[in-house]
Amino acid sequence: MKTLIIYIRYWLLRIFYISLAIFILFGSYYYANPEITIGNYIIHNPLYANLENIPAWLYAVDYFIFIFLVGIVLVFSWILYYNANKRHKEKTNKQYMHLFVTNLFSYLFMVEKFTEKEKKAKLKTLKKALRSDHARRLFINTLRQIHAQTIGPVSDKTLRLMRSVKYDDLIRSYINSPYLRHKIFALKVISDFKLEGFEKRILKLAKRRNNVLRSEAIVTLLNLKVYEDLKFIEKLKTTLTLWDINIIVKTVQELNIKNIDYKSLIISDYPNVSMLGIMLAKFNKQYIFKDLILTRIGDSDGLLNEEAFLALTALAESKDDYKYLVDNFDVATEKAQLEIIRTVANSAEQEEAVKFLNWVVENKHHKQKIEALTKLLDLDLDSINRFKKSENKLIRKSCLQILDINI
Amino acid sequence: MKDINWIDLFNSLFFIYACFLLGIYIFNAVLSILELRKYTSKNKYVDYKSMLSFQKLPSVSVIAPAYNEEKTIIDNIECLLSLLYEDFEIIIVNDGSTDNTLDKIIRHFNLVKVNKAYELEIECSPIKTIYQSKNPAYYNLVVVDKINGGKADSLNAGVNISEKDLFLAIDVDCIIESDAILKMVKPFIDDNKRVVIASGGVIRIANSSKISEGRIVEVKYPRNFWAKFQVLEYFRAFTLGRMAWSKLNGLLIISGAFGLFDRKRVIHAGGYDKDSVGEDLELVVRLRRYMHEVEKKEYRVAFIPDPLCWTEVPESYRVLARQRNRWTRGAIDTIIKHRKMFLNPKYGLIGMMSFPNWVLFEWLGPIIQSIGLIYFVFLLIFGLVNYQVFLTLLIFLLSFSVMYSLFAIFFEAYTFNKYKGVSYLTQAISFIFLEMFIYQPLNMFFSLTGHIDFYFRKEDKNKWGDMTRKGFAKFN
Repeated sequence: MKTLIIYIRYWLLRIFYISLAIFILFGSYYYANPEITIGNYIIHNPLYANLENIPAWLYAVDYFIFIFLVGIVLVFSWILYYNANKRHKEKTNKQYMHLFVTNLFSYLFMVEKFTEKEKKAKLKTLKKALRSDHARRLFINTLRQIHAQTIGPVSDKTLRLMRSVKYDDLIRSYINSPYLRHKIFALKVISDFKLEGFEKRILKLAKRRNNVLRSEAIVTLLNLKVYEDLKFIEKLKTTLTLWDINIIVKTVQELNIKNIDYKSLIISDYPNVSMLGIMLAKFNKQYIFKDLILTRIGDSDGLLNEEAFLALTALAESKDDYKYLVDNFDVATEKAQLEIIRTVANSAEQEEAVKFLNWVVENKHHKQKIEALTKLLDLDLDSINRFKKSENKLIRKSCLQILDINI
Repeated sequence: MKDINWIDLFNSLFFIYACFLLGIYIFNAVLSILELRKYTSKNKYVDYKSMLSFQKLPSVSVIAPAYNEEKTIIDNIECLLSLLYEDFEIIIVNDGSTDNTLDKIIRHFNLVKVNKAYELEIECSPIKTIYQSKNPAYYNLVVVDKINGGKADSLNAGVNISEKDLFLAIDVDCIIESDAILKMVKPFIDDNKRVVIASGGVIRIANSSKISEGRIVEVKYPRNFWAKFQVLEYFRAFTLGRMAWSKLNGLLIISGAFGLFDRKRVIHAGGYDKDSVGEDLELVVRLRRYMHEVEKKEYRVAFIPDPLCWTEVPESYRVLARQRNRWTRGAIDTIIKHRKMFLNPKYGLIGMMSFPNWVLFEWLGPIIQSIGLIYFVFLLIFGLVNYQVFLTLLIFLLSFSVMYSLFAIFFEAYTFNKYKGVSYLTQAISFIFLEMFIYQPLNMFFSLTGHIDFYFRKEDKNKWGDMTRKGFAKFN
């Protein structure tokens, strides 16, 4: 029922705008004619006598003046209304917040037990305050904030409270609402309080083109722990943005999700899904997927290629791994090259590492030179002394820079 | 030819021009509403601070040229150091200040000379010294001391020194909101269809607002007469103008006081134009040209409607005149340099809409308006004015102007509502009427002087002009 009301309001607003546009068009027609006939009704234009003798363009100007004047009155009224409304909202929000925070704190943290009568009285006061959607949203948001800052994982006590204020009606209508802000709110609440029964709808939302909605829906599904292997991301058949990837990785790390189906993600046809798989394999130190990651090196998608290199540097453990990185240094992106320099410098093969770092200083760009020289400062002071006197001005300056900053 | 009624012809031309201009304004307003609603709806629940723990974010250099800023430089740098972002550096470029700007920075932040190597990828005046702090708390502060070369030249020096993916070009005396970088970076990571090459933000006026430790603690409507006009002007320009062009991906300007750019692309496009006084406009136009001519990729210039940067606007007639004169010279210079783009379908919407809009209404606007005024005086002298038509047209224009400005005020209240109170509303609305008779004609006059300086006083063509600032009020 609530969903229906939201939809009716949504469509009424649109119908109002369309009617306004039609009214403006119809008005221009009416204004230009002595009378118009609608069915059996004839509506006379009292202003027509004044307009009869003026040129058509001046008539248009007259009509626009009328529209602009109506516009001035409308916008001016809106300004007054919104300002008054905002002030009123700020005032009531303060009152609500005070009521909610005190009640929620006493409910969640107070040690003394209330009698059944007291509990009922408190609940009655709350229910009285929670009549409007706005108040219920505020209440739920306050509860979310208290949880996030103090309690942590959702407790039975909280869920009981949520049920007693009949949250499900609001959330169910919001998740099906045509408004984006409603959907996002519903997803946040479902995610924070691990509410069940909405999974199918959320999965549908995760396929949407709107990236904000999509990433919020994916995070909610992860929080609900219904699709822990993350296979569903591959099946969404959608291109993830860097924003999505960051959010997903962050959530996976926070929830410490381990049983991910890395393979299906890494081999995905969607470069960003593959990138996500590689990133997760890197963070969870999944050495067994190194060969699979290797297949993504040289991918036409620059970011995927870079991520594959970064993962290999993080997962490198044998002589062959380091050799591979050194041999493919030139096809890596700048960021990956810097990471390769750090990785190779920290490897056990000191002699090889020094040789490689010297080669980078002599042949590569400024940023890479600086990184290699910084590492050489720990590994081989002879090289540093040699580069200090180098004939190449950039090498000399780079060397002086790292000496200045590091010593 | 004999039958042509020149009076009718001129009347029609002026009328068509005015209608076209009004049409564009209405179009802008409608697009802005749609874009703003979409933006606020999409970002209402975004937790920007969560970006601080993201794994894949571009790194950012904040580049701030400084010239004789000794009064405020320490507070300004402190404010920049407190910006929220994971991987960022601050590059202050001392553009040959003649006061104690550099000494103050060196002493306060415990700076020492460093032999920082860099590649001169874009042209700039010689860099004398680079400083970094001995205090690890300021590890991300770099101060560059260089020979004076102007703002564009200083930004180029900063871009050369920078080692990050993106750079945020700012005016050092602006006050930046702490989450500004996070909000500006977001478009770079949430679009997988188009490459984002730059993003701009809304500038708001901070004259008379209360400032403490480089942060705004109370937003106040300016007390100064000239600043009040500019509040209205900024509302219209940013909320209703740039937002609409951003929706169309036709934005041609990102304010020089606050804009985030892809560093590599700026270098490939040749950096800031040292000879231009409208370097902000010129860079965006050139970047767009570069994307169309060289990279040929789908791209966009993003725009963030949140007020993220606060600036002090001119409070005196003279400084205002100089600023507007310079803006006009900058616009003319850019239009002439990139005239190839005018009505050129090769540049898509930029060539067919945005650029012609600049030519017709920014470049030619003041000239056509002045001709219109002279023409009207001519008609008056020769008794050719039809007073009924004149009055109708006057009411037409005035009612439109009032409605449009009111709409801008409404939208500000509806979205970000930074200035508050009945006093503000009353003053802002009354200044709409004053603006039409005082500020707008003056602005037209300043623009005309800009035209004259550009075409006839070649020595003044690239002059920046002294921009005296009063400094923000301190609040303790």
